[in-house]
Amino acid sequence: MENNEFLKNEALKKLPYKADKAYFNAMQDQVLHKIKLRDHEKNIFRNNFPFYIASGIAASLLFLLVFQWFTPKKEALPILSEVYFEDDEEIEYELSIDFSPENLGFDDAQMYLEINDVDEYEIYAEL
Amino acid sequence: MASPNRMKAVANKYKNELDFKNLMDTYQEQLYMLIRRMLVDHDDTNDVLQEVFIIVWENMEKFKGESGIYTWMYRIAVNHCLKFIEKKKKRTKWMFGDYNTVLLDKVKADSGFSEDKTLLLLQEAILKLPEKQRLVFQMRYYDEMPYKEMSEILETSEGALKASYHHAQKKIEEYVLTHAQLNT
Repeated sequence: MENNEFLKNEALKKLPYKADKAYFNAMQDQVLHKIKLRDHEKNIFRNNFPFYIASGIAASLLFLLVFQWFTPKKEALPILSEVYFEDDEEIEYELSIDFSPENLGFDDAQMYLEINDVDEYEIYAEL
Repeated sequence: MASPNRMKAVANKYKNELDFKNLMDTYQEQLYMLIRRMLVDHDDTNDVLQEVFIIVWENMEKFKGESGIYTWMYRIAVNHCLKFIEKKKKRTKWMFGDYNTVLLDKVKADSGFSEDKTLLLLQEAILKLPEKQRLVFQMRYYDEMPYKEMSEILETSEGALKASYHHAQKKIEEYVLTHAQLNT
Protein backbone atom coordinates (compact mmCIF):
# COMPACT_ATOMS: atom_id res chain seq x y z
CA MET A 1 0.00 0.00 0.00
CA GLU A 2 1.40 3.40 -0.97
CA ASN A 3 1.90 5.90 1.80
CA ASN A 4 0.02 8.87 0.37
CA GLU A 5 -2.64 6.95 -1.47
CA PHE A 6 -4.30 5.46 1.56
CA LEU A 7 -5.94 8.62 2.87
CA LYS A 8 -6.91 9.72 -0.64
CA ASN A 9 -9.42 6.91 -0.78
CA GLU A 10 -12.73 8.81 -0.60
CA ALA A 11 -14.59 5.69 0.50
CA LEU A 12 -12.84 5.92 3.86
CA LYS A 13 -14.57 9.21 4.57
CA LYS A 14 -17.93 7.50 4.71
CA LEU A 15 -18.43 6.46 8.30
CA PRO A 16 -21.17 4.04 9.29
CA TYR A 17 -22.58 6.49 11.84
CA LYS A 18 -26.20 7.03 11.12
CA ALA A 19 -28.80 9.11 12.86
CA ASP A 20 -32.21 9.24 11.27
CA LYS A 21 -34.90 11.91 11.21
CA ALA A 22 -36.84 10.24 14.03
CA TYR A 23 -33.78 10.41 16.29
CA PHE A 24 -33.22 14.10 15.54
CA ASN A 25 -36.88 14.92 16.15
CA ALA A 26 -36.78 13.15 19.51
CA MET A 27 -33.49 14.89 20.34
CA GLN A 28 -34.96 18.32 19.53
CA ASP A 29 -38.01 17.62 21.70
CA GLN A 30 -35.74 16.65 24.57
CA VAL A 31 -33.64 19.79 24.13
CA LEU A 32 -36.70 22.05 24.16
CA HIS A 33 -38.12 20.19 27.14
CA LYS A 34 -34.85 20.59 29.08
CA ILE A 35 -34.70 24.29 28.19
CA LYS A 36 -38.24 24.81 29.50
CA LEU A 37 -37.45 22.82 32.62
CA ARG A 38 -34.32 24.88 33.32
CA ASP A 39 -36.22 28.14 32.71
CA HIS A 40 -38.92 26.95 35.09
CA GLU A 41 -36.34 26.09 37.75
CA LYS A 42 -34.69 29.48 37.32
CA ASN A 43 -38.06 31.23 37.70
CA ILE A 44 -38.85 29.27 40.85
CA PHE A 45 -35.48 30.29 42.29
CA ARG A 46 -36.01 33.94 41.33
CA ASN A 47 -39.53 34.04 42.80
CA ASN A 48 -38.47 32.39 46.03
CA PHE A 49 -35.27 34.37 46.44
CA PRO A 50 -36.62 36.73 49.20
CA PHE A 51 -37.94 33.69 51.04
CA TYR A 52 -34.50 31.99 50.84
CA ILE A 53 -32.86 35.12 52.27
CA ALA A 54 -35.44 35.41 55.09
CA SER A 55 -35.03 31.70 55.91
CA GLY A 56 -31.26 32.12 55.99
CA ILE A 57 -31.48 35.02 58.42
CA ALA A 58 -34.02 33.20 60.62
CA ALA A 59 -31.88 30.06 60.69
CA SER A 60 -28.79 32.08 61.66
CA LEU A 61 -30.66 33.81 64.49
CA LEU A 62 -32.04 30.51 65.73
CA PHE A 63 -28.57 29.01 65.68
CA LEU A 64 -27.18 31.92 67.69
CA LEU A 65 -30.00 31.61 70.20
CA VAL A 66 -29.47 27.87 70.66
CA PHE A 67 -25.72 28.39 70.82
CA GLN A 68 -26.13 30.98 73.56
CA TRP A 69 -28.61 28.79 75.43
CA PHE A 70 -26.16 25.93 75.66
CA THR A 71 -23.07 28.00 76.39
CA PRO A 72 -22.21 27.54 80.16
CA LYS A 73 -22.53 30.77 82.07
CA LYS A 74 -19.97 31.96 84.64
CA GLU A 75 -21.37 31.42 88.06
CA ALA A 76 -20.98 34.02 90.78
CA LEU A 77 -17.98 33.19 92.89
CA PRO A 78 -18.19 33.02 96.66
CA ILE A 79 -16.59 35.94 98.42
CA LEU A 80 -14.18 34.72 101.04
CA SER A 81 -13.13 37.95 102.50
CA GLU A 82 -14.05 41.57 102.15
CA VAL A 83 -12.07 44.45 103.49
CA TYR A 84 -13.49 47.95 103.46
CA PHE A 85 -11.81 51.16 104.40
CA GLU A 86 -13.55 54.15 105.79
CA ASP A 87 -12.84 57.51 104.23
CA ASP A 88 -9.80 59.23 105.69
CA GLU A 89 -9.10 56.26 107.86
CA GLU A 90 -5.49 55.50 107.91
CA ILE A 91 -5.23 51.86 108.50
CA GLU A 92 -2.42 49.82 107.34
CA TYR A 93 -3.40 46.33 106.44
CA GLU A 94 -0.97 43.68 105.98
CA LEU A 95 -2.74 41.25 103.75
CA SER A 96 -1.35 37.92 104.49
CA ILE A 97 -3.36 35.06 103.12
CA ASP A 98 -2.05 31.71 102.27
CA PHE A 99 -3.57 31.10 98.84
CA SER A 100 -2.69 27.44 98.69
CA PRO A 101 -5.82 25.31 98.14
CA GLU A 102 -4.92 22.93 100.94
CA ASN A 103 -4.91 25.77 103.38
CA LEU A 104 -8.40 26.79 102.39
CA GLY A 105 -9.71 23.26 102.52
CA PHE A 106 -10.22 22.87 98.77
CA ASP A 107 -8.51 20.22 96.74
CA ASP A 108 -8.66 21.99 93.46
CA ALA A 109 -9.31 25.67 93.85
CA GLN A 110 -8.13 28.89 92.31
CA MET A 111 -7.93 32.12 94.18
CA TYR A 112 -8.43 35.61 92.82
CA LEU A 113 -7.66 38.91 94.37
CA GLU A 114 -9.81 41.49 92.68
CA ILE A 115 -9.26 45.15 93.29
CA ASN A 116 -12.53 46.80 92.38
CA ASP A 117 -11.81 50.17 93.80
CA VAL A 118 -8.90 51.90 95.48
CA ASP A 119 -10.16 50.87 98.85
CA GLU A 120 -12.02 47.66 98.21
CA TYR A 121 -10.54 44.26 97.95
CA GLU A 122 -12.40 41.10 97.31
CA ILE A 123 -11.00 37.67 97.40
CA TYR A 124 -12.73 35.02 95.31
CA ALA A 125 -12.37 31.34 95.21
CA GLU A 126 -13.28 29.25 92.20
CA LEU A 127 -13.88 25.59 92.81
CA MET B 1 -17.03 42.42 12.42
CA ALA B 2 -20.82 42.71 12.59
CA SER B 3 -22.42 45.80 14.14
CA PRO B 4 -24.03 45.51 17.61
CA ASN B 5 -27.48 45.87 16.03
CA ARG B 6 -26.78 43.00 13.67
CA MET B 7 -25.52 40.83 16.57
CA LYS B 8 -28.68 41.56 18.51
CA ALA B 9 -30.82 40.82 15.49
CA VAL B 10 -29.15 37.44 14.99
CA ALA B 11 -29.48 36.57 18.68
CA ASN B 12 -33.12 37.67 18.80
CA LYS B 13 -33.94 35.74 15.66
CA TYR B 14 -33.02 32.43 17.21
CA LYS B 15 -34.35 33.22 20.69
CA ASN B 16 -37.69 32.04 19.43
CA GLU B 17 -38.60 28.40 19.74
CA LEU B 18 -39.58 27.91 16.10
CA ASP B 19 -36.46 29.61 14.78
CA PHE B 20 -34.33 27.69 17.22
CA LYS B 21 -35.84 24.48 15.88
CA ASN B 22 -34.86 25.61 12.37
CA LEU B 23 -31.37 26.32 13.62
CA MET B 24 -31.16 22.81 15.07
CA ASP B 25 -32.54 21.36 11.83
CA THR B 26 -29.82 23.09 9.86
CA TYR B 27 -26.80 22.11 11.94
CA GLN B 28 -27.77 19.02 13.94
CA GLU B 29 -26.33 16.47 11.48
CA GLN B 30 -22.99 18.23 11.10
CA LEU B 31 -22.65 18.66 14.84
CA TYR B 32 -23.78 15.11 15.47
CA MET B 33 -21.08 13.77 13.13
CA LEU B 34 -18.40 15.97 14.68
CA ILE B 35 -19.25 14.77 18.18
CA ARG B 36 -19.83 11.16 17.17
CA ARG B 37 -16.44 10.94 15.47
CA MET B 38 -14.83 12.15 18.68
CA LEU B 39 -16.88 10.13 21.17
CA VAL B 40 -17.74 7.07 19.02
CA ASP B 41 -20.65 6.10 21.29
CA HIS B 42 -24.15 7.20 20.19
CA ASP B 43 -25.53 7.73 23.71
CA ASP B 44 -22.58 9.91 24.71
CA THR B 45 -22.98 11.84 21.46
CA ASN B 46 -26.66 12.35 22.17
CA ASP B 47 -25.92 13.73 25.67
CA VAL B 48 -23.25 16.11 24.42
CA LEU B 49 -25.29 17.26 21.41
CA GLN B 50 -28.28 18.10 23.61
CA GLU B 51 -26.05 19.96 26.04
CA VAL B 52 -24.48 21.91 23.15
CA PHE B 53 -27.90 23.07 21.91
CA ILE B 54 -28.93 24.06 25.43
CA ILE B 55 -25.71 26.09 25.83
CA VAL B 56 -26.38 27.71 22.45
CA TRP B 57 -29.90 28.69 23.54
CA GLU B 58 -28.77 30.03 26.90
CA ASN B 59 -25.88 32.02 25.44
CA MET B 60 -27.58 33.39 22.36
CA GLU B 61 -27.31 36.94 23.74
CA LYS B 62 -23.57 36.50 24.10
CA PHE B 63 -23.15 35.62 20.44
CA LYS B 64 -21.18 38.56 19.11
CA GLY B 65 -21.53 37.87 15.43
CA GLU B 66 -17.75 38.02 15.00
CA SER B 67 -17.89 34.66 13.29
CA GLY B 68 -20.67 32.76 11.57
CA ILE B 69 -23.24 31.10 13.80
CA TYR B 70 -22.06 27.67 12.66
CA THR B 71 -18.46 28.47 13.60
CA TRP B 72 -19.66 29.64 17.01
CA MET B 73 -21.74 26.48 17.55
CA TYR B 74 -18.91 24.31 16.27
CA ARG B 75 -16.59 25.94 18.83
CA ILE B 76 -19.05 25.24 21.65
CA ALA B 77 -19.35 21.61 20.47
CA VAL B 78 -15.56 21.17 20.28
CA ASN B 79 -15.00 22.61 23.75
CA HIS B 80 -17.81 20.57 25.24
CA CYS B 81 -16.51 17.42 23.56
CA LEU B 82 -13.01 17.91 24.96
CA LYS B 83 -14.42 18.54 28.44
CA PHE B 84 -16.56 15.41 28.17
CA ILE B 85 -13.53 13.32 27.13
CA GLU B 86 -11.54 14.65 30.10
CA LYS B 87 -14.34 13.68 32.47
CA LYS B 88 -14.74 10.25 30.88
CA LYS B 89 -11.01 9.61 31.07
CA LYS B 90 -11.03 10.23 34.81
CA ARG B 91 -14.11 8.05 35.35
CA THR B 92 -13.00 5.11 33.22
CA LYS B 93 -9.42 5.15 34.50
CA TRP B 94 -10.21 3.13 37.63
CA MET B 95 -12.81 0.78 36.20
CA PHE B 96 -11.87 0.09 32.59
CA GLY B 97 -8.36 1.48 32.15
CA ASP B 98 -7.47 3.71 29.21
CA TYR B 99 -10.44 5.59 27.68
CA ASN B 100 -9.02 5.31 24.14
CA THR B 101 -8.96 1.51 24.51
CA VAL B 102 -12.62 1.66 25.53
CA LEU B 103 -13.37 3.70 22.40
CA LEU B 104 -11.39 1.27 20.28
CA ASP B 105 -13.40 -1.64 21.65
CA LYS B 106 -16.59 0.20 20.77
CA VAL B 107 -15.39 0.78 17.23
CA LYS B 108 -14.49 -2.90 16.88
CA ALA B 109 -17.88 -3.94 18.21
CA ASP B 110 -19.67 -1.68 15.70
CA SER B 111 -20.95 -3.86 12.86
CA GLY B 112 -20.49 -1.00 10.40
CA PHE B 113 -16.74 -1.19 10.89
CA SER B 114 -16.29 -4.92 11.21
CA GLU B 115 -17.42 -5.36 7.59
CA ASP B 116 -14.68 -3.10 6.25
CA LYS B 117 -11.18 -3.91 7.56
CA THR B 118 -9.56 -0.82 6.02
CA LEU B 119 -12.11 1.48 7.59
CA LEU B 120 -11.55 -0.20 10.94
CA LEU B 121 -7.78 0.15 10.60
CA LEU B 122 -8.14 3.86 9.88
CA GLN B 123 -10.36 4.33 12.93
CA GLU B 124 -7.85 2.47 15.09
CA ALA B 125 -5.07 4.74 13.81
CA ILE B 126 -7.17 7.87 14.45
CA LEU B 127 -7.97 6.77 18.00
CA LYS B 128 -4.25 6.43 18.71
CA LEU B 129 -3.82 10.19 18.19
CA PRO B 130 -3.96 12.66 21.08
CA GLU B 131 -7.43 14.31 21.35
CA LYS B 132 -6.53 17.71 19.92
CA GLN B 133 -4.59 16.24 17.04
CA ARG B 134 -7.47 13.86 16.41
CA LEU B 135 -9.84 16.80 16.33
CA VAL B 136 -7.67 18.69 13.85
CA PHE B 137 -7.34 15.64 11.64
CA GLN B 138 -11.07 14.93 11.68
CA MET B 139 -12.06 18.54 10.97
CA ARG B 140 -9.70 18.67 8.01
CA TYR B 141 -10.08 15.15 6.67
CA TYR B 142 -13.80 14.53 7.08
CA ASP B 143 -15.27 18.05 7.08
CA GLU B 144 -12.63 19.46 4.70
CA MET B 145 -12.70 22.62 6.74
CA PRO B 146 -10.39 25.44 5.63
CA TYR B 147 -7.49 26.14 8.01
CA LYS B 148 -8.74 29.71 8.49
CA GLU B 149 -12.05 28.49 9.90
CA MET B 150 -10.32 25.83 11.98
CA SER B 151 -8.06 28.52 13.36
CA GLU B 152 -11.11 30.56 14.48
CA ILE B 153 -12.73 27.56 16.12
CA LEU B 154 -9.69 26.15 17.86
CA GLU B 155 -8.07 29.55 18.50
CA THR B 156 -4.77 28.23 17.16
CA SER B 157 -2.60 29.65 14.38
CA GLU B 158 -3.02 28.26 10.87
CA GLY B 159 0.64 27.24 10.80
CA ALA B 160 0.29 25.17 13.96
CA LEU B 161 -2.83 23.51 12.57
CA LYS B 162 -1.11 22.64 9.30
CA ALA B 163 1.79 21.11 11.23
CA SER B 164 -0.59 19.20 13.49
CA TYR B 165 -2.53 17.82 10.52
CA HIS B 166 0.67 16.84 8.75
CA HIS B 167 1.93 14.95 11.84
CA ALA B 168 -1.42 13.25 12.29
CA GLN B 169 -1.47 12.19 8.65
CA LYS B 170 2.04 10.74 8.97
CA LYS B 171 1.23 8.84 12.15
CA ILE B 172 -1.93 7.38 10.62
CA GLU B 173 -0.20 6.32 7.45
CA GLU B 174 2.61 4.69 9.40
CA TYR B 175 0.16 2.87 11.63
CA VAL B 176 -1.93 1.67 8.71
CA LEU B 177 1.12 0.59 6.73
CA THR B 178 2.57 -1.40 9.64
CA HIS B 179 -0.68 -3.06 10.61
CA ALA B 180 -1.80 -3.76 7.06
CA GLN B 181 1.47 -5.62 6.49
CA LEU B 182 1.04 -7.54 9.72
CA ASN B 183 -2.48 -8.58 8.78
CA THR B 184 -1.47 -9.87 5.33
